[in-house]
Amino acid sequence: MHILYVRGGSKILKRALREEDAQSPRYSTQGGRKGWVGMEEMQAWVCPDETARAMLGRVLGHRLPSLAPTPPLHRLSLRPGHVVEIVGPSGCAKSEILIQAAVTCILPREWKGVTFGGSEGLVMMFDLDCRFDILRLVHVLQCRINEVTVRHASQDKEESSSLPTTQPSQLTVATVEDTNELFKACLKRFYHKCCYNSFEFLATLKTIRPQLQRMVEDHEKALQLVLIDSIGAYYWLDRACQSTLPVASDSYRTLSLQVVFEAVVRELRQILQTHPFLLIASKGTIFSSSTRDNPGNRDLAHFGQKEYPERLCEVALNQEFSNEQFRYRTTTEKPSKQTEKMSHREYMPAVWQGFVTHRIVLQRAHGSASEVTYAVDKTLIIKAQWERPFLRQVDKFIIEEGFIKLI
Amino acid sequence: MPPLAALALPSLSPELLSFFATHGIVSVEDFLIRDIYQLPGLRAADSDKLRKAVTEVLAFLENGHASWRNGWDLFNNLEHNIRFLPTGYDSLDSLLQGGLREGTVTELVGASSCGKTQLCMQVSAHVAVRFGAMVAYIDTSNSFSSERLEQMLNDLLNSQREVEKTGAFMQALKNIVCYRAFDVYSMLILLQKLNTSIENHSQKTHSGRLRLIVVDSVSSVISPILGGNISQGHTLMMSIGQILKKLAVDNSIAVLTTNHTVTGESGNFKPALGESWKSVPHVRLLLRREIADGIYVASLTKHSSQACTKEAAFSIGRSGLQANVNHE
Amino acid sequence: MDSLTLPLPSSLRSKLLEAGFANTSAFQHLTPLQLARDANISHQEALAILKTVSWMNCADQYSKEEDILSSAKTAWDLLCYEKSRKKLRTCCSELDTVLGGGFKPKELTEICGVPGVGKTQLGMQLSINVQIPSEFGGLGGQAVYIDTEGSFMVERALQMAESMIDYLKYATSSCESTVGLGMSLNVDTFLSHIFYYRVYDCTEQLAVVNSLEEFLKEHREVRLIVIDSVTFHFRQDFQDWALRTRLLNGMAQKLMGLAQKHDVVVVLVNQVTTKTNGEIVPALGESWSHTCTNRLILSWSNGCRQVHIFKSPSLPAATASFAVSADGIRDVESSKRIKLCTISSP
Repeated sequence: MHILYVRGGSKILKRALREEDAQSPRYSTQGGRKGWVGMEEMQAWVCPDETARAMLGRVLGHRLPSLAPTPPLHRLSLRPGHVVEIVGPSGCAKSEILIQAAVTCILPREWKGVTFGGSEGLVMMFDLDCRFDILRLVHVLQCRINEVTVRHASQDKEESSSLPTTQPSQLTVATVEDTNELFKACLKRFYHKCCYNSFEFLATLKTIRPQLQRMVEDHEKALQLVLIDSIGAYYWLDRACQSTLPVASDSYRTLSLQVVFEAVVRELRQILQTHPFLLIASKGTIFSSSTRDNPGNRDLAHFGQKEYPERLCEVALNQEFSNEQFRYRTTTEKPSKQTEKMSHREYMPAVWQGFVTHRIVLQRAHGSASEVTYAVDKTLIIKAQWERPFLRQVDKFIIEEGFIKLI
Repeated sequence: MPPLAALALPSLSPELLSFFATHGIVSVEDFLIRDIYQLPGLRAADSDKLRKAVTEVLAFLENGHASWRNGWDLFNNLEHNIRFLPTGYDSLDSLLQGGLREGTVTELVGASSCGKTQLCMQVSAHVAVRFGAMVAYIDTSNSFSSERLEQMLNDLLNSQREVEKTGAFMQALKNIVCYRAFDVYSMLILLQKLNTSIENHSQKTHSGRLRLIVVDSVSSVISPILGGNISQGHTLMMSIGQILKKLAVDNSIAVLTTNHTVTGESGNFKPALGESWKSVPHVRLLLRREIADGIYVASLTKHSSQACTKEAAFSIGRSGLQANVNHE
Repeated sequence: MDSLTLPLPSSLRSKLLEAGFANTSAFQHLTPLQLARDANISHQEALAILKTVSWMNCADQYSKEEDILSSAKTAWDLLCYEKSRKKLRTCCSELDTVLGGGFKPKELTEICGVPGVGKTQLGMQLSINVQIPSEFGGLGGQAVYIDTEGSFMVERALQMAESMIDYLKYATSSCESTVGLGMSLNVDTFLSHIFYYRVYDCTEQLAVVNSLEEFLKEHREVRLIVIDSVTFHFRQDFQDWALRTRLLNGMAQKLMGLAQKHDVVVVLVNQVTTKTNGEIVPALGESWSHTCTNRLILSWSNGCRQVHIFKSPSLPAATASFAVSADGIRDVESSKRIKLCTISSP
């Protein structure tokens, strides 16, 4: 970046140059020269470096490919280096989205003449919740493979019906064996690890690099996607380690949520330098909305004699999720008095919030099946809205078989 | 995690340990949290020794924990080693795609007197008889009744001859061990001891390995400490959740827990223990009593790999949960 | 066990964690001086921590055992115990049948009902019945009666005791060996074996329950605890509902522990309340319904008092009728017979 100060009365002209610019032949290598500069130099500086077209060509050439995300992440172009956070209460398909993204990543772009549209990369999943179910991944993978192969087979049939010499039956037999082979190859690109506390998570992050190198060499594919499910799993356990006493500035030994996540973010950044990947982390909500789980609210007398405080916990979750009403408050540790419209309360420390580049918030649609209403004929409809960067559109989707379908 | 000095690694010389100590790095946790290479006061000559020490400590950590597994290994393990434990009621088994899966935590939620304890006892009886496996039943409200178990087992063993029946009956009852815990600290100690006991016990095979742990119920011990001024409440609750998940996943054991309900909005019932506890179970079954007397319904409200759209109706008879019987 | 989960004030816990003592095994063998030095805390604090750890090790029945899977009680052992244990009978045979023989020790039974249906009467009858000597098939124990409403009438207890003595004397008169035993019973013994507490607010109620542990250690004969009623002080003037739930649940768990350890029958009397739609439900809310082992609901039906088993882990749902007569809780037919006798006698 350039900082150019030209003070009318002063004779100081200050320039701060970046290293790359300094090496560029256009700029003078003498930095920070005091005194008036010549007109030619100023003109040379003001002149354009390159046209927009040339810049686009240069940037696209160096840029890492974007990963084709599944809905509801489809609105934005996500690339390695981005950190996406999926926030929502329990039962909002956060893990489902992670699995869909993983399947898109492990499928090949093209295989034996069939286009699958995947990224053919390695996926590593940190299962901090320890609830990952391989059956779900397998089911989604099978559905995707079947859908593509059936579509391809029907296209082939149309083409082959016009030609007299091809034998469709042989084609289908070969496809089944190939499908199993593809299935196995895809599953082998997916890596999973369970962690039970923050220290295991940190230990895994610190010991990952040699193992990652081995995996990349074995598969000859790059690491493209890292999933964390869910990043807030150890919130209460780490919070309890926190000292409640005032911390001395030179006290290195204070364990806290902030310190643990500083280490996590530092390790992730170091891995990103050598293996650029897209990070998608799910985050559950800790406080259901207001009262019981909220340590700030104790005296509930004003809610009336007959009202049970537990009833209010459902209020925020069932609120209409309209664009105008959508608000959130960013707090790190203790949430203060809440408002009924709040649907997302931040509890992660600032260092993690700064690391996240994108955030999408999920919520059950009002009127869809919930745990409270015992209606099995109602499908679960989930609303999604991008919070960072803020987008006004609210997407609704359902999960049908192995696919997420927008409605 | 032990202090660094206790690791007794060759590259951790006393000078290096004292250097670490001056920066407040005494235990392995401190080692993990701090950026070792950025410590001030590190001389250039020592950086090789430091690198070696770091590599050795990391290798030690790597050996201590399970390694990365790829999807194919997970899938194979599931197909060959993981079983589904039948609940004893066919409709419920088909709702759960086979029964309680080993390696998962299943939660039963329901209002008072909805059949949660009955189902827990029925599953224990079936697992003890059909697999000859051990069942650990943790009871917090003195609801475990051997006489009721006897009734359930009698019907299950009805098909066998009298002579075999008594032997099988006694063996089944001996396979079920019962523990009582009335406050959260006892429960934590119990679960931790169970964790250490399981590895030792697997060598003794006279009664089969432990396949099922039933905790009836978790909310009885947690609700007295949750909320209010006690900040430890959530920590203790999540510690219990963490141990249950660890017991289930590491040892391929099915864990069945019961949860109560509290009054939610507009008089509806919702599961107790709040939002944080929802991240613990893999599967959640909601039990409720229909208005018509004697009919109960179990609906699936959360499952890690299937959609939650089905329900199963049942009534409770002598042999436990059974298909709906018309009452006069 | 984990230092995180010790019942200590959070400042002490965080000091322990900062010093690197993540597990109790790391410091429980240290002396207070060593711990104070290593953890940079005062001597008193170190003493408090070590005391808590040793208390947890002693108080908990499982902490001393190495392999709890081998040394645990199996269901077979429990079955043998359950078949041989004596149950606390009421004098109403229909009720006893439906309860599977009577009220069972080591269980918490809750009795709910509208006012005047006979809850206190049942409580008092049980306080008398628990003292029936074991030769007559009773528990031969003593009773603790915690009265929160002031509904315990000594005169009524005296009446019930006299009637029980008459019955027992009648029962033994035919049998030579127990005649002497029957003659030795008197009302003073019966009344002196009921330990009566009168509590006036919720704090007192909780304090009495907390002190029962010590009391039961001293009085090993106690086989029954009745709290009449558990609801009274928790209904009015209790603003914080969440606190109420916590206190009640904590109290119930303590009573469970006492019942299990000292082999006593615990009976809690609860009131009823009306929901907004007019339905009558037991008081204290949904969370309280889960705390007791058994729940009996007393009600009126066709001029007759009925007991309905609403919740029980081992008994099927059933209904029994009982009557409250001058002698106490009795079967409906017998009291009718008595009524007929009194009417017909001149």
